[in-house]
Amino acid sequence: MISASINFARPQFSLDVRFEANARVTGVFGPSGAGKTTLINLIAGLERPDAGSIALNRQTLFDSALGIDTPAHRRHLGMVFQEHRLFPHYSVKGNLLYGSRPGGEELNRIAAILELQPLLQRRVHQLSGGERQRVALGRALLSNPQLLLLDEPLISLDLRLRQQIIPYLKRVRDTLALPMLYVSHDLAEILQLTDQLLVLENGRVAGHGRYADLVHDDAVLAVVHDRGMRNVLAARVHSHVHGDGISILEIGPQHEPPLSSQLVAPLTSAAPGASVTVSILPWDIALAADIVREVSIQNQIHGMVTRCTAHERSMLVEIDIGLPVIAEISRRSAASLNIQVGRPIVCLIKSHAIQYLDAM
Amino acid sequence: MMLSPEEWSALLLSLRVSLWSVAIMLIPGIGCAWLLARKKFYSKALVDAIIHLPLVLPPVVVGYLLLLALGRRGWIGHWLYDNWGVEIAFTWRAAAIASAVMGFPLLVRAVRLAIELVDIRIEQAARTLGASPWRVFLTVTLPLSLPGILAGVILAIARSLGEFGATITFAGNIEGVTRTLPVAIFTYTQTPGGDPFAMRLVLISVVVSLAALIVSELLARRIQRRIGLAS
Repeated sequence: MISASINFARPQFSLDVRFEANARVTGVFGPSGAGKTTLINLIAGLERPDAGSIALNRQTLFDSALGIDTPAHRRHLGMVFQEHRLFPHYSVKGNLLYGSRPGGEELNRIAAILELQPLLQRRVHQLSGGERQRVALGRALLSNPQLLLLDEPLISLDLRLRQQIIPYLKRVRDTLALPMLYVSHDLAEILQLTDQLLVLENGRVAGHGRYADLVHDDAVLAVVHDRGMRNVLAARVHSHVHGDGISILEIGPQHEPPLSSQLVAPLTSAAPGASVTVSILPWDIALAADIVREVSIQNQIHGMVTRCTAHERSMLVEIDIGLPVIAEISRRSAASLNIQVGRPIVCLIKSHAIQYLDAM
Repeated sequence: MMLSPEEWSALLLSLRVSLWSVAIMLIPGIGCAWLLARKKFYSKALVDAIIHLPLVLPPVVVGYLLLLALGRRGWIGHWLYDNWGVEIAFTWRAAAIASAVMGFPLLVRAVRLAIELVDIRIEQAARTLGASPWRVFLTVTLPLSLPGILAGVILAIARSLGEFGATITFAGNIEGVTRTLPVAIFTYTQTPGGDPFAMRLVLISVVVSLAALIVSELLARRIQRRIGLAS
């Protein structure tokens, strides 16, 4: 658990945040200039807050009142930067072992998780961009950190490469008991790893909690709405219908068939049984009181309204379809449909409104 | 070309003096360069100016100041002689010290530039991996600035091979003891009929300096390949 209360002022910018993060992965989201990187640098000890305190698992790393300021190299935090920052004069193996400590993860295990074995003897300049970030991730993991700080680790990679790295991040999340703070300005990237968000804007915390809850808050919605707000759903490929150019996906808990729903989506190259991540924009979900007959829309999913909030121009409706999804409709439609908590509803989603986020 | 015993003695003495001068100044030089490159402190401009002083002062002045401090009656020299029986002025050690002082600013400038070019973000990464400031310096900063350190060392050796004013003032012109190549050349030019001998020594100087430059270039390329800076 990381708890922080930080004041940090510079002529052009000030940061004033207070939060406690308990989740396995907390996504730090905000527009550029919101203070995300500064926050991470302050936690890592690369910069010094003007006042406040930072504690990790009840151990104080910084406290201006008590005069505690643990130097960066004694904080036991792993960090992955926007640029790889690998040591050019060491081999991949030398980089990986640079910070390794007794009692930490073993080289072989980390190399297996990140598929680094074929690269171990190479020099840094012989690696591709994606490989460099994987080595940087492995290097941080091998230093036996208590918390992993990831500062936009995919920003220097092109879109296709980003999607190739995300599965490795998921694997790290699922195999190592290591809390992470994951900074990004790309909401889709964060939502593939976690639904726990710390939303920053102008050096302040705009919101902190579960994404589906946060979007109902005006301050958070203002930050998120035009910056890639979307539903990100984990799904499994059920089958393909090649003749129609579609794939059938299943969403919801795998072992509870009554709760899982099927989605008709564009044809994917992933094999039946494979996991995929899909994204649906809130304004691509229409709501209906009942099943609509004779309509081009392929997906009609029963659900129940669990929350709705009116905003300046629209109504955000959270619907439980086995997992929570957010739909955005006009306030006028909401009134005519009599949208309220507890109302059964049908979500209408065009198959082509479903986007695959991962290429793998 | 066969060298006479006097010529051999001047050449070997010059090489010994220059190597010792580098040995004396290397660690303090890297330390000063690191301070100037990486630290902010109140009197930085003053420290910088003092380090550069030998570059702008007449070498004779430097030699004379060294004589005042380290001569038998100087405030350090007198203490050294009384306690340890060590004499510095007018020995080969004086030539090495004179060379070191004169070459120091050149070494510091080159090393400082090299350290400034080391990406501070890579040093930060090392810190987050648990490396103490010392370890960061020894495993990241130093190896990555090696080409610049080498350049500084070669520059200092070259400066030392040519050192004349401070040497002749502080170490004198004693054959076989402090008569380095430049001092020997000067002596021959002052001797009737010495011109051919002076020419031979000039030739030796040129060859030695060229060799130093070529070796340093080859070494620099090898280091750059090793630290992965050249692709």
